[in-house]
Amino acid sequence: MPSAEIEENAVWKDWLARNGNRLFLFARQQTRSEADAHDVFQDACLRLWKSGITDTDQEGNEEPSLAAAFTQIRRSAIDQARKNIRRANREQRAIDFGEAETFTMFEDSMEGDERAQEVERAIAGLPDYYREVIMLKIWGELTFDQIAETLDIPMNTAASRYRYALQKLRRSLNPAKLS
Amino acid sequence: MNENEELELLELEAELSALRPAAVDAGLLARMERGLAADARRGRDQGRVVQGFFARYGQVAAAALLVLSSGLLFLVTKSGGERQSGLVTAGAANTTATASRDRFQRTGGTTTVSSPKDGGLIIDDGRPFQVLEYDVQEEQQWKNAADGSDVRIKLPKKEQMRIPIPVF
Repeated sequence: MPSAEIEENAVWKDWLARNGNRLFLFARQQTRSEADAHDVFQDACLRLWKSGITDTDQEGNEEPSLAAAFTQIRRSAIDQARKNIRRANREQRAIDFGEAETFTMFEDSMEGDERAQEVERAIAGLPDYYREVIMLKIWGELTFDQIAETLDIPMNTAASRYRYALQKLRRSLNPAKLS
Repeated sequence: MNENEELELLELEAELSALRPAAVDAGLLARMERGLAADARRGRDQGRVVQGFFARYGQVAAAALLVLSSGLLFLVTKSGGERQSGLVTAGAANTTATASRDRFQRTGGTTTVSSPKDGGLIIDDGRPFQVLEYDVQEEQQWKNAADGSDVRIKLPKKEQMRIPIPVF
């Protein structure tokens, strides 16, 4: 294998190790099942790899763009949803619009942290359009500008959704305090 | 929103940030790494096939490809008929326009800012900003000294400015 290729593979491996969890969290939030999230995550990374979109980190090294990765995940999730609808039409069966599969969002919840589980339930109870902004801002560490581009919404909308989402979470986590 | 509520939101943000997203399935990551490496290999092999072809047949292959592509281009142009000739004329017209556009000299430009309005408050990276929205119209002018004709282009757009609000 040529040395440039080995180096590129190492950059990707390191980048996936650092960002894989947060990207997969977003992929899982954008899809209705674990299997779909796997497909979307793989497809989005492959698309990003082929697009060659990179960011420069603080030390001046080039690495795959995180903001572009989130955008690819969203596009890929939309494609996946369309594919599911087409398959359902082809097989002449009804599309399952029931509850999406639940999933564990945080390592802390898995470790039995009760507060983490409570927060996770509160986040799961948010409408999709609030939850996706919270995920991109808090765990994706994107700016509102990048969130707006990823979700294809105006920047002010992204900022206000984030604000409303936090307020809603605060209300559901501290109802006694607020009353 | 009062100061207490603002503080509570900041605390909540900090609490959320401290939560670690669940780890991705190691099998999935391994599959992805294999997939990316295979894709890279496929791209490299395709490059090798083309390079190998030219290395083996050299200039003869290049000449043959050139003749083949010229023939294809000729066939496409011919089968396009009137529609195709229309395109060729349009292309020629574009060329003429470019040539005469070169004689245009920029004579001025203005930028007008109008209709400022309050775009509300936003929070970005935990800092509050006041948003000011306004209309901008850029106008550029060119004149052709040879025939006295002139061109004006107006570009209206909406812009916004974020003014940081000091937090004490």
